[in-house]
Amino acid sequence: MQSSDKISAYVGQICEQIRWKKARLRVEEEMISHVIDQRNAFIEQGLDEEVATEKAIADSGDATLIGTQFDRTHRPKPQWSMLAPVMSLLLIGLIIQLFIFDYGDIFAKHKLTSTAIGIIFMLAAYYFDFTLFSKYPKTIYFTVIAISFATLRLSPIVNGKSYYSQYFILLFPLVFAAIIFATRNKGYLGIILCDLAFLFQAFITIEIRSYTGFFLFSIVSLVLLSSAISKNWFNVNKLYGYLLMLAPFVFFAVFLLMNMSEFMLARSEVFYPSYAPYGIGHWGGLTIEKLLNYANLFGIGRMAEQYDGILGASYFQTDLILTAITVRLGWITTMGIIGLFLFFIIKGFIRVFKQKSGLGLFVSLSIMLTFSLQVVIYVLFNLGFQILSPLSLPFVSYGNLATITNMGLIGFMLSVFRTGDVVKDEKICNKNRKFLSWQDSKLTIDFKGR
Amino acid sequence: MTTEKGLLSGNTTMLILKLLEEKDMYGYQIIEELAKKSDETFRLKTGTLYPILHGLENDDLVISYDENADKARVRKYYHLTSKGKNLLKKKQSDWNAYKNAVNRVLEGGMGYAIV
Repeated sequence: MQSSDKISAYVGQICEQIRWKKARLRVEEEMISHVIDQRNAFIEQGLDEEVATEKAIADSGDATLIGTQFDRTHRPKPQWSMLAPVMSLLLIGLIIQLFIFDYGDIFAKHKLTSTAIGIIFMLAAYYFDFTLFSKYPKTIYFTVIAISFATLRLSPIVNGKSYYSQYFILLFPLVFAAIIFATRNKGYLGIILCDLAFLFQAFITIEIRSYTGFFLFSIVSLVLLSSAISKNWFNVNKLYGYLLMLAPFVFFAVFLLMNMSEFMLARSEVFYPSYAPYGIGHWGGLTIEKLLNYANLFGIGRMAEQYDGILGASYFQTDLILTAITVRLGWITTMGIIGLFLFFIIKGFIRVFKQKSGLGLFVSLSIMLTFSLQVVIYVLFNLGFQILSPLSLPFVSYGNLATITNMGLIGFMLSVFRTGDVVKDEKICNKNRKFLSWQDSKLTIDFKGR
Repeated sequence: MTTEKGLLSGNTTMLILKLLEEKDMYGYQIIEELAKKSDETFRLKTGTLYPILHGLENDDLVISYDENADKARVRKYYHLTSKGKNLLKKKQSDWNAYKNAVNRVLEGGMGYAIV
């Protein structure tokens, strides 16, 4: 046996003891390097290669014992402290929708079903190997785009929007993160490819007529690309990189100003509702303000009974659940719910910025931003600042697709937090890998990716 | 004399952090430096050092980065973080208190003070 084979066999024996297979990669390379350093030191002392190798292995210690020590150090990190607020918010959402406001049996059945499916999606994503995502970025990107196009054609139009497609936009930042990952070290071409991916997705959000979706996707993409450039992901001059990055965003800003100025002017009425009481800002400025003025700190608001008819409307269930909660249960309950969201968001971002790999950072940052922006837009809308229509208040408001998509996304992000520590960008780049391949009349689906 | 077991009582981490305070090092280098600085009193075993280093990295007390050792091989270097520096300070002060207490006992249980 050659000396390099002996070292590999020894390190292989160490790695076999580590039950968490993903952590083996982290140990393997370092241990081989260690034994080689030790062997080289013995060779310098005058021993021949074979004896030096055997002595280096013997000096390093018993492989099983070392492997057992590593096994104790490397365990996935369970995310109970992140799952706890998610489960609390889900429970609050269920209690409020099923017991506090009576929206009817069908809504209750839908809410229960979507929550159950959402929990299954979240747990599946939580235990999913998120690095698989990095191995098939193009497949994932075009699959999500294709589904969005399909729903765009099939979905009913509600309030001018392609109703179901708008929730697929929640997946857009994540698949954009996959494209950023795939363009690592590709220089300016990498940024141009990301720009094109952004433009393509942004046009779809406009086609869906979800301006909230467009805004959310643009902000998240801008932050993701900026963080990639600041991490020297593309290996380019940072100033030129930022300028190249901004090109499509400037294009869209001009496009929106030219085509949407009337719409935006109308939306700006939310800032002076009494001036335009029958404009788009009417709801935001007057009704919500009136409702919230009568809300108590604790318990039911003074005018809640008169407003019970309004609060029971499905519009409140989906887009104004926080306003309804404030009027019906008081400000303290609303603040408690917002507090839970804040706790989750702050804790989440701390974990995002602790990610050691670019993949872990981009995936978790894209999901955390998508989640946080939904919450911010929703809370502002419920306080009367109705500049953008909310997509959903994750876990709490009614919305089957939104609930399932958000729970799946959060599960995926928690999978990054659980196992991201041992992921290295260099190890997971595999350009020639194909998810689906056809050879000798056999269709192969490569789930393992290794 | 080579001491291994005595170190396992909890001070290995302090010695590793102290070495990394001076400069970034890779695993094998840490073993050799520690042996050299302690006149071969402390020679860490591989199975002791690396799990500790990985544990320190999991707790953000050190961070690691790769550097080429030669064309075919990379070495993982460890760098002490500010959180790691704080832990080192605390461990050093605990060690000094412990050492002084042991000395006082060995010197006959008499208290002393430097004026």
